[in-house]
Amino acid sequence: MIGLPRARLAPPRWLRLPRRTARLRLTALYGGLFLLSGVALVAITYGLFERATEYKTPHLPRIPHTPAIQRLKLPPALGYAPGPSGQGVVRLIPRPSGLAQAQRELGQARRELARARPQLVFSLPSQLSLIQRRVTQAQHVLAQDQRQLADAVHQLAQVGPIQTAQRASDSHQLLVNSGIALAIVAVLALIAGWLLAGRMLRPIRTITRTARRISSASLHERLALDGPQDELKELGDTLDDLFERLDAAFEAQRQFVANASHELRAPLTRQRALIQVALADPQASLASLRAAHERVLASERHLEQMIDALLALTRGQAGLQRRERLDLAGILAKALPAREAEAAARELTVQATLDPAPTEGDPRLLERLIANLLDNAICHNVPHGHVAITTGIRDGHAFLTVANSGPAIPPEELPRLLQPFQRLHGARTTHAGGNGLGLAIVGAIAAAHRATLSVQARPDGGLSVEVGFPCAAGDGADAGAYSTSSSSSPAGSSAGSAGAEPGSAAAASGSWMSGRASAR
Amino acid sequence: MRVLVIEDDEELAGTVAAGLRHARMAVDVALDGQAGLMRALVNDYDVIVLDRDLPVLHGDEVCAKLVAAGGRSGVLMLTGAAESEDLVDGLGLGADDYLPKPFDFPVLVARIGALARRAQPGIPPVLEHGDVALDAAKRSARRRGRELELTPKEFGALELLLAAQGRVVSAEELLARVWDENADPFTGAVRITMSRLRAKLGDPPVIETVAKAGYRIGDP
Repeated sequence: MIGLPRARLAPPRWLRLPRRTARLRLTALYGGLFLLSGVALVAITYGLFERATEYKTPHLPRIPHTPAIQRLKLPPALGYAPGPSGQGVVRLIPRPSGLAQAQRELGQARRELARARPQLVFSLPSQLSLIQRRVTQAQHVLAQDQRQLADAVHQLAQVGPIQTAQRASDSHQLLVNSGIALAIVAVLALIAGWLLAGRMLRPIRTITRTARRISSASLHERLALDGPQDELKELGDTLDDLFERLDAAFEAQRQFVANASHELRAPLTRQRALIQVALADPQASLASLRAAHERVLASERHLEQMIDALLALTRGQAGLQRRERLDLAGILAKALPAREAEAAARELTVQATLDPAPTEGDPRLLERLIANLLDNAICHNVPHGHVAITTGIRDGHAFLTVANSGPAIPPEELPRLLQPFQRLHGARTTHAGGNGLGLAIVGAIAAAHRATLSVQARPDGGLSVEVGFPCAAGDGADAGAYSTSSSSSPAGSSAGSAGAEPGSAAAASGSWMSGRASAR
Repeated sequence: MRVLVIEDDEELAGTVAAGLRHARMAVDVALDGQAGLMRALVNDYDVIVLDRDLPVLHGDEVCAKLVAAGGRSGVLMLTGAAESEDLVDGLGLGADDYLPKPFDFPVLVARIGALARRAQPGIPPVLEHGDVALDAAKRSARRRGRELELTPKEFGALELLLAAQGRVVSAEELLARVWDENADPFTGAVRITMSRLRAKLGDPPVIETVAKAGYRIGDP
């Protein structure tokens, strides 16, 4: 079929061989097996039948029990002999002894009679006639016996072939009948097999049909096979699970694209409105146009940040490009000073307890993760709130915790916050700052590093985010060195020591702590 | 003409408001759905420009509640979602018009003008009385073919008086429908604006003062 132009070669539908479907194969298998066992059954039955008739004593005609026959001593004369066909055939082998004896006796009597006749002709006519009578009588009896014997012999001679023929015809009949029965049952078996195979394969047809129908646009469809909990149902359920996950992934993708386009549209809208309003202003001045320009530029920057964030999210989702040993405390020590002013402007108290937290990862991605966590903590805070940052090693895992005060967050909102473009209060707002990608990027980067991300709503408002990294491979000794160097710092001190990598030690030595509660 | 802009993007809301004020409309701004709904229920707006994705109270709900309250305001929905289904949904909720973001500002102004006309049925796009003509769509007023340089308030007052077609318009009504909510009702702003408008219209006087009732143009 493959490679052949079907339109040209295709015979009429009813002539075409059915496709070699599983149903056809199963039916052929059922039918073939049934036929084989049927043939075997018939052969065995036939063989047994033959065997049974072979050993059965032949039914011989009853020979009349007369004194003459007794005198003939006939019975041993009958016996079996193998026939030409190899089958047992009754054959009559006449033994002449009895008859010959009678004839001899008769001949002797005749001879005696002939010898005695000259003497007896005149002297003993009565005796002669007696003898003659006796001879006649004997002849009569002999003839009768001979006749009976001939009858018996004839009868016997007939019995054998008749019985043989009868048996042969019986066997033939048995064979023919068995053959017919076998043919009928075989056809029935084929039909039953066809129906049964169809029934067994129906779920597969359902699966095929549905899978063919399901596209990215109709992924919500399910097979929903009913019936017993068998392998096919299992297959169907497994496929349903697969569709479920695909559906969710597609839906998430669609949602993401919709949200991304919305988020990218917002700065565009703003820019266009700014420009057009500035142009339409009848009393436009140089100052007003300049202000409009600056606002357009600010909006442009927002757009750029958004695109950066989208790229960061994609990079995070793509996994690690490079992997090197680094210290979370060192990255934090570098990232914190840049946010000092912003934190001070919002009158936040920032506590950093930076114990060494060596791990392996992509430094650019981890910088982004830390920056996003810090920005979130500072942005989504309350005036006079606080931010607590902790790094260190716990149970052999490098960890980073950022906890901040802020508006109360219902725990059920937490999973949503990790989704792209989701912000608090169920809306995608832009005026509160941020692009709604921060925690999604954190989640993606954490996943790329096989790190655990735990986000908890603090009871008095705000978030506590902890990222637990798997320990850097084969740095047990180094970790020990880190811990000894950090053990010199006062335990429980709010200002943590940051004995980070030698290179960043200078930057970290200041153990960054900001708590400027500036009064207005 | 009084317009309420409900838009959560503060910068965009401010820009739109400024642009609409240039077009001689009295504009109020609300940054979330709840605040917007409160303003819309309290004040008498000709047109409400409603963003669909609003925090606190979604734009759809605001729209449904406005329709349920039965105000005369026309609702123009703004949204980032430009799918035709969204358009159908938005209009199905009772919005009078629909504009996808990013929009052209002149189009927004023209649609607001059209909605405002629709909110007062029977008002032609160009209001005329004698030799005074006011084109609501082009936001221009002329007397004897000469363009009048009117401030938004003056333009609004003239528009309202012309549209009233001889009916007396009270100072309170002028204040409610021409001034935005930042106006102080006790400053005599209406009186000052009316005298400036009269001066700009020139002679012969068009606006007649009805004692203890208000102002009117033309005879009833």
